[in-house]
Amino acid sequence: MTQLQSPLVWLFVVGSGYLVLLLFWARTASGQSSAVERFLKPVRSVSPFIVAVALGAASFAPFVAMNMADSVATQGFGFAAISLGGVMVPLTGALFFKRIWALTLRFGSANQAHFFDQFYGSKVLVVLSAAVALLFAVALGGLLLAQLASLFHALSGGSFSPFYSMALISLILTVYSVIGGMRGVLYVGAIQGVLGAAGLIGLLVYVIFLAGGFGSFLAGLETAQKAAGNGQFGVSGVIQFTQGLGIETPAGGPWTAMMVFSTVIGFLGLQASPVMHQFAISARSTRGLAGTQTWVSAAIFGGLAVALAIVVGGYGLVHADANVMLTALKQLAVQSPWFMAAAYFCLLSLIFVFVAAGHLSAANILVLEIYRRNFHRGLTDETAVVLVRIVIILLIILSVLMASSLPVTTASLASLCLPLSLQFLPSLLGICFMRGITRQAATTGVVIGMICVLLTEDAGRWALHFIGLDLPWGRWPWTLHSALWGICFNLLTVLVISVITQQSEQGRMWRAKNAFISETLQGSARVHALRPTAWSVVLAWLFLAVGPGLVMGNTAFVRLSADHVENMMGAPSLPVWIVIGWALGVIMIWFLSYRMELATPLAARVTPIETTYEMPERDLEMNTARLGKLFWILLAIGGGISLLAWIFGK
Amino acid sequence: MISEQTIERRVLIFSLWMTLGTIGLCLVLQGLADDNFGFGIAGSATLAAGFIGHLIINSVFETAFTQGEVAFGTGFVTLTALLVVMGWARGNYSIADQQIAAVLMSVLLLGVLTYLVVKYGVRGVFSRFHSRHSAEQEDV
Repeated sequence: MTQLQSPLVWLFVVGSGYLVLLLFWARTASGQSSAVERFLKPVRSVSPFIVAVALGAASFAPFVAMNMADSVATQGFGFAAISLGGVMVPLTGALFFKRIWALTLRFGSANQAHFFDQFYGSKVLVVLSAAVALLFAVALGGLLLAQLASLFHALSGGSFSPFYSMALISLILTVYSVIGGMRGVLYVGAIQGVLGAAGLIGLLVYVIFLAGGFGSFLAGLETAQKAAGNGQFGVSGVIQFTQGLGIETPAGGPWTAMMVFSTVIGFLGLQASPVMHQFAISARSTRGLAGTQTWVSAAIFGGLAVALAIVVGGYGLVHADANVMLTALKQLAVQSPWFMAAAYFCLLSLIFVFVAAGHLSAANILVLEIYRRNFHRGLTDETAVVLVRIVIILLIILSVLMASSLPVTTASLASLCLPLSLQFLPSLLGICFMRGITRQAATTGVVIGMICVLLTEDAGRWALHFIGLDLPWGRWPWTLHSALWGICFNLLTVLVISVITQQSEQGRMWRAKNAFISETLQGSARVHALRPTAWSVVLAWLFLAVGPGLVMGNTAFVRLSADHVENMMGAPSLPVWIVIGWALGVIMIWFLSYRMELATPLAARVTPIETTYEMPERDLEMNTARLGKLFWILLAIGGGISLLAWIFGK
Repeated sequence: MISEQTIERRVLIFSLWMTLGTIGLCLVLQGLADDNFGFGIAGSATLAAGFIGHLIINSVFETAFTQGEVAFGTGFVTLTALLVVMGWARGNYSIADQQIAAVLMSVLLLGVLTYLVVKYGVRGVFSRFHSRHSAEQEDV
């Protein structure tokens, strides 16, 4: 191999170009506005199309975290149905982002925690929003960085250890996040989104080329299907009432139709997260929001998720290759190292946009909503910017250290992100649509939902085991994902407590918000007439594409005869069902965004309300007494847990 | 401070060249490595598509090429020409390599010509050379 055909040389060449691109845009962003605007306030002046592409690219991150292709290769096409989460992700955005944007502009919140605080006045929601943002930044961010670092390690021929690879990638991330702020992340995110999509398309084409063309790929699938039976080519029933993974393994694999449904429901949590909230409030206007959700998120990135699962995952399934992504990239490195290096940095782009935004939003909430609001009200904006930058660096260091030294814990915590974030959905519903949801109901619902998520996930079970409590169920009992357990109990709690506390006064901001929504965000008569149709469309899609109806996908496109099974469409039935489900999902998002006017541009002009508040002189100093109290509370909690573990732990 | 419209244009230009430019160059390199004329011509076509895309973006935003873009383009064409000449001088070019280099250089030169035509118009380009020639004659 000549030196010019060494993958390491090309990784260095393309990487250098990539670094120049990031630095250029970070510098451009820093020249566009003050640091206060880039780090503390919603940018609110970025073009909708830039936000659209950045948002779409960020929506793809969970599929990278899940190792979509590798997981399909090991767990079969039942897992591939999870890729329909690519349609669920924009569903939340289509429902809420227009209203969140308008309310933020009107009432001036800086992030999700502030948004909840303004309307519910609940400190618990603020803390939980901060905790979820922190989890997204450290756990999910760390996991994504670790995955791409391990790819870099393998592709560089072991020249860089996984830790140094991660440190190198994180350094690039830190530099551009700390210089460019949210504006920089959005500008770069738009370019990264295009790069990421191009890289994924290139990878798909290459895998089809590796398989010997699309015909050979389908023939390979058919041969593998005949050899393996229907086990890995379908979902294993509608539901299995097992005790949960780790205690009882479901027959035929964990991916029942209800398992798929409950996991896909978790994807609704992505755009309800503090990270995506930050994207939503950064656009100049709501123009292009419908296009973002329909065409960029659902059609392009949702389609890429489905294609990645079926094509790359299917190729891995045929060749029984559990590391199909790495194999494909390594094969590419042998044939053309330049293409491999380009493909690698395209994949890196997809996670960078999400990870950078995650760290920024977590730092923003921690400094503004936790530290400044509770411990140092007199903190100036300039000092707050410095603190945000320091917190970003600390969070990135923490995620690198955690992902490299505690990979299992990181993966376990990362798997909590979407289900926990989903628990904010009823609270958002209360603010944006259903004025009957009270503060007490929203807060208790989130708390109960999050507890249920923890009790049905490994992280919560391990924590309880540590203090001597062993739960009688395992992970995801009844083959239902923790996201569904959480949201079911959350909604039930919200319903009951809302009924009980309906008469309580919700406050001045709540009334102002209701009046604003009534004046500005009411749909037309046509929209009211279409409501039953919209409900029917969504419920039908949920049932057929990702719900119990998915079980029909096992055999919908096969011709059964006495001695053999024939694929009617030339491909196994379930992948065909998934592709149709994706296409119908795009139509559903289009219907909700455009026809139901949930994401169309605002008809009325929104003007911010003027709020003047003189802070008392005594509140301006750092509240050391309160900081000390927090320290003792945390110490007491830590001591209590240690004591329980010492007495009852095993 | 740069206007938001300029930023939008820049994002589009970067997205365009980061994808089509990279793919085009990779295809040309693949063609040279495998002595495959097909890859080479596909790479040149991709670069040409990138250039056309750039012209479309310019037209949408009603702007011309910026000074930085012209400098980068000139540098790129010069560097490519230099590499082609150096490769030719070393004499280890296969027929396919020579064909790829010829197509690539043709595409790049066509791009330069198009740039001049778009900027000055067909007549304008001719006049620039022509008028300079006349001026030189007058000097004599």
